[in-house]
Amino acid sequence: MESEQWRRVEALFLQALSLHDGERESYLQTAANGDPELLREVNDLLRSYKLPGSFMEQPVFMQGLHVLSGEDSDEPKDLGRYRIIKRIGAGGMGEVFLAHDSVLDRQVAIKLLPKLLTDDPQRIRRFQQEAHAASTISHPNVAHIYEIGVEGNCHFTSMEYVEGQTLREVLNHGRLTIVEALEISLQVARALESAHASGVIHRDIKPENIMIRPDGYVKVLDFGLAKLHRITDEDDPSQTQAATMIKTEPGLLMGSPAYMSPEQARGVDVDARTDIWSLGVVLYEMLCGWTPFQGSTRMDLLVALLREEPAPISASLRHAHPGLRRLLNRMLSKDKDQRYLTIAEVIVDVENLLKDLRWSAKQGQKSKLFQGSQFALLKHKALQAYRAADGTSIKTPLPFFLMAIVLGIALTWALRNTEQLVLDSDAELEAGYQAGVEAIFRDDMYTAAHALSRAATFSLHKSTLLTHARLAEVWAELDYYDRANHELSYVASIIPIFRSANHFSETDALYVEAIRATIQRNFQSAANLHKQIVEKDPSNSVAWMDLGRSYERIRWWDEAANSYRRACAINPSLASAFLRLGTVEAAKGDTQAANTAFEQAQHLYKTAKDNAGTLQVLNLRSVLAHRLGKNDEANNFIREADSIPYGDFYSEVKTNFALAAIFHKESEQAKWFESEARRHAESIRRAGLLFRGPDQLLVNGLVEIAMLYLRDNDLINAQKYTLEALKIAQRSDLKISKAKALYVYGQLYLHEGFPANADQQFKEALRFEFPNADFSDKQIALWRNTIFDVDYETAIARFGRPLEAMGVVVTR
Amino acid sequence: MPQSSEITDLLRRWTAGEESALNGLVPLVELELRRIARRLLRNERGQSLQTTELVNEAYLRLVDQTRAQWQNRAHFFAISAQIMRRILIDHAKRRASVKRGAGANQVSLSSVTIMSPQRSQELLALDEALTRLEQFDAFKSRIVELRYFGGLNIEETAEVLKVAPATVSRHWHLAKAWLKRELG
Repeated sequence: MESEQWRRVEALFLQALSLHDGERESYLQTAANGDPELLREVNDLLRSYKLPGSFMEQPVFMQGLHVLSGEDSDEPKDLGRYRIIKRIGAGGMGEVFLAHDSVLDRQVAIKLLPKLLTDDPQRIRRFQQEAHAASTISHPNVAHIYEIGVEGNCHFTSMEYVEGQTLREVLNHGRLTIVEALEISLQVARALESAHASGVIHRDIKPENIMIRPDGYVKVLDFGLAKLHRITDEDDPSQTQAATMIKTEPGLLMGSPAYMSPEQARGVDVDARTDIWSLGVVLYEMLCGWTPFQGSTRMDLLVALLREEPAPISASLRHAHPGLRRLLNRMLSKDKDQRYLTIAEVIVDVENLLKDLRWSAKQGQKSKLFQGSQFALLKHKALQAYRAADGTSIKTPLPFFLMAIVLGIALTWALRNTEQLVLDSDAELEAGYQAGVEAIFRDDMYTAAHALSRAATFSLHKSTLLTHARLAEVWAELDYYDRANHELSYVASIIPIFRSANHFSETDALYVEAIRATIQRNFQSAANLHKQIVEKDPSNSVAWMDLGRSYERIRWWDEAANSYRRACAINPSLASAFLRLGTVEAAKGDTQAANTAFEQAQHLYKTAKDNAGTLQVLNLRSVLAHRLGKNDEANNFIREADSIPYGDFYSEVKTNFALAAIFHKESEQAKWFESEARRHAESIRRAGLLFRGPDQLLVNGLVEIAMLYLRDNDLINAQKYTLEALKIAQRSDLKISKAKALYVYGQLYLHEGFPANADQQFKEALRFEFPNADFSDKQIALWRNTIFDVDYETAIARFGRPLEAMGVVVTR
Repeated sequence: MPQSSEITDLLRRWTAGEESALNGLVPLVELELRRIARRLLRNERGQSLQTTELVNEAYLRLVDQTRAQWQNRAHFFAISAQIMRRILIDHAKRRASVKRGAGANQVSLSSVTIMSPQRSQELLALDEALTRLEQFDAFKSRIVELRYFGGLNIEETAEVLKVAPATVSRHWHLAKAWLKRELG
């Protein structure tokens, strides 16, 4: 049909539909304007439109569901000599089935091109090419290709069926230990060595293509991008021809971008060294839990891959063995000439590294054992456990005897296995948990998130439950409410296990409830629950810290300060207790007390060589000094902070925003700090350290600066910053950050003299804090009168007070 | 289990206009839809099941939420509708050939009740008509695909196509009238 005509039909048809039957005829006569064909067509359509009933009225989706669910609906029953048993997977290059080979009576994996794609000759060619190349390799670490076949219009390959998990599935449960990661890399490297010797480059090494059998044996699958590759003399065309070079289509970027080598990303010719790069990325990911180059889009990722250096591996990894960083650097060198020349060299280095690590682990164990008798060691560990139970150090309180029993079992096991490498994941987990809790207390939520995530990745262990609970708390602090809730439901799911193991105390239960209340932003009842915990366990400094923090959230400064003082008294070496005490005293306006507390915190952090903590104290002190007008003193603190080596992106962002805020009146300096903060935020985003990147930090920083401009009555700048904050919060779906930005937006309206508009923003901001409440305009207005130029947290803490005075009860 | 990062990446590339990404996406989405359909129909016979719930569940399971954008969800629904169309048409072709006698004895009773041969013929005719409609009014053909095969309502279709619900409704009226006449 002519599109012009169709459009006229459409216009008339729709117009006619909107008219009454009586008017329709005359309308169409006029509108058709003597075009009998048009008139007939429209009348025709109107007639069929009015016909009663049609099978089209009921979507056919449900039938589709039934067809989909039919076990035999769309899948081949037989494929020549193979009987299909079940579908076991699907990937970009085709579906995979488990099948039985009736001739050789064995199980095989059948990889099949999706029927939808069999009319794509390019894809068929690529598929056959893959199989052919791979079938020439024979190595125990390579999944063997048996046959390349066509049955009817089904193109397939049959290959060795490997039972087990893909490395991706293994990594989903958390990153691996250094030894595990190196063991796996070694086996993959051996598979590659054999393939390279046959002239086959894998070109798509990634965790999805690496199978780990239950016995620990590694099999490399899917030579999905393999092309026949022979080392040929470029000058001898006959030889080149003989070598049957098959190229993938030019300009077609294949492979998974995160694992692609720079030369692959550029689309230039690749050689075997591309596999060395990809294996380097996989090794990096096994160790760190994320890939070295990240980007929110494919393009960003490619840019990062080509231009950026990988995010540095953590200090603990760097210190494990200097060779580890060297290995990664050489595998992940952008210039392939700087990379290892052959995979054989990688194998040698990995083997040596493994030997070293095993040896030193064994030495470590032996020296520990030889230093004292088994009994002495047990006593030492038990003493530590006792101190933990006593609350003299930051540890989860555990009944002494339980700790001793567990340690006893662990020790016996360790002794029995001295020939084998024993990485004490127990200690690692516990250390991660403690580091996380310490970071929480000094308000360093990013470090806490990393430490706790790491500790939470291992299998069930006695501190698993609290680790996940703490993690929920941290995610909520970081405005990742979905994750917080996820952690919390995981905690709920493992509580029965812990209870049946007699390892879920009343205090633990209260603690989980308190965190639930905190995540629901029901801070008042969280504080009550924490209060019950300290009543049960008044000698536990950690419990007092938690109580203090819950009071801080509701701005009960006196109660918070008292709680921290109790924590300091119980454990005079608990630096974070002094740090928090200083913060609270400063908020109360007691500068003298604040400084005393900060000094003690700084002293303790310095003695413990805790750079992150020292830095935090110095920042807080400079802010305080500046607030009091002591600019020289403030500058001294900043200079001292600057001299501390601490390459942590998050604290850089936070610090620089704080400095930008301090100097906001001296605009040049403020601008510089702000740009530093943004630059570091960008680094975090590129390093892909957190899913939503540093947006929460950005919004908080921008909101703070906006508030400062507001107080200076610089409405233009205030608005600029507020709008940017709002945009970022919305983009990343950050809930509390958005509420904060909306709140500042409301403040902006107040300054401009539009209280009604302000109330609108406030109302929306409050919706996050009180999701179930519906506040009247009058209640909002009442609140508004108490919060002019006040920061968000204080404003929220103030909400309800004037209402309570009127007899209105505010519930969350 | 296919990888959510892989799917998220494919979906993003397809959303960004890279048509070849769809080839990788379709088998993965289909596999998941199959899996969910099986489980749901086994447990609840699927009586109370809403289309959007099923596709949403597939989406949540397959796509890394933290990396996905909201447009991805709309595209995911579009893919699901396409998959449903292809599966039903393939199925109908087989059913239709049963009527003609080929392999009739291989068909179990349960699979016959899913779709009668007459229904299969109707469906094949609709598919053909829809392909014809696509040639001069692709927008209407997409609406029918999303609504009829994808099971979406007017609002959901509007979200996928990024138009106002009233627009979808107008096109749907005419598309229905045209198809009814073609099939009549």
